[in-house]
Amino acid sequence: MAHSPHHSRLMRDRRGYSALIATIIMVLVVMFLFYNIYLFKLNRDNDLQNAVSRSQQLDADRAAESLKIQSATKTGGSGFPIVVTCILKDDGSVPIQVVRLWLKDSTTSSITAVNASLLSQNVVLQPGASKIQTFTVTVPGALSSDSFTLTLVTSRGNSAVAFIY
Amino acid sequence: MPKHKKKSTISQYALSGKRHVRNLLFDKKAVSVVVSTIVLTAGVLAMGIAILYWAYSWGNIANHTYSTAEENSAKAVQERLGFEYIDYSGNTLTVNIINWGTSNNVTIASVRIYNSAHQYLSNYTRPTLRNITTNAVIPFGLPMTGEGYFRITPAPALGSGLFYIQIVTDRGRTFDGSFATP
Repeated sequence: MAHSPHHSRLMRDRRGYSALIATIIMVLVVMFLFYNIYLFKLNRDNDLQNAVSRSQQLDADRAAESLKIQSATKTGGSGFPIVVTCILKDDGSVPIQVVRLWLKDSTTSSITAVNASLLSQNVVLQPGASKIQTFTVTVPGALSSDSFTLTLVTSRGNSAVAFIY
Repeated sequence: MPKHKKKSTISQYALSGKRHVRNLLFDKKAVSVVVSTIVLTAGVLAMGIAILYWAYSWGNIANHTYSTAEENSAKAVQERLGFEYIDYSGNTLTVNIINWGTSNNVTIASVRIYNSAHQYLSNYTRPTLRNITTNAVIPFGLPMTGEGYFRITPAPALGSGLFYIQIVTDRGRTFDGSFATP
């Protein structure tokens, strides 16, 4: 079948091809660059979103943490270390680790509060569990008749306070 | 084919070849086109490499800036400070804190104190963080699960009552606590 002269001329005419090819290459390059930048931004945004999710989980865990100090008693004083015995109860829905103890002599305000790290004792409570715990702290100048304020700090920054008379 | 005829044909070919090579060597037509094409190609290549390098450098800078900004944002989001124990005696406020977040090196930019009506009282910049147990200075901020304290001397001295304290970290996070003075 013979082609029309117009069609034959169109097939033979190479003018305008370079512009077309250049445009296609340019579009491909732009798409490639855009895709890379978009992918990079997407990855970074994902990282940030993960960080936000983790921090929200931290807050949720902290809010779910509930440490109760029950039946706190003490012995010692007047030159001897104060021995505090109490029942710790995890009333929340997450495990608790008690990391530090603060003991303040409430009777003699001039005696500064003393603290002790509990990391080595590994005081960990599972949700709903309770345990009897004994802490031995040296409070210089404290008498055996003094009353104390016991503060236990958890690894999530929460505090539980008990008054010992 | 006779022998002398073959010889003459070969010599003719050689003569023609020599003439062709001579023509090619001394004919200067189209040399300028070749030279200009080479120069143009070299120029385009040089420009292309220069622009590529420039764009690559800018891309690197943008990448680094964006990544750093996002990393800092992520670290700031995960910063958490808890107040362990606050003591005020002899006009010295001792604030014991714990880093319970998942960001390392939490540093304190400033500390603000408000009264019970949330009215601003005073501001203290860059208090020295110290280890609770060893009293050693913590130079690069609180690590994860790290505990530390700082001391400030409020001016004017705090009266009796309830006060609020706000810690502003270098990453821009704020953490609020309260304490009562005797």
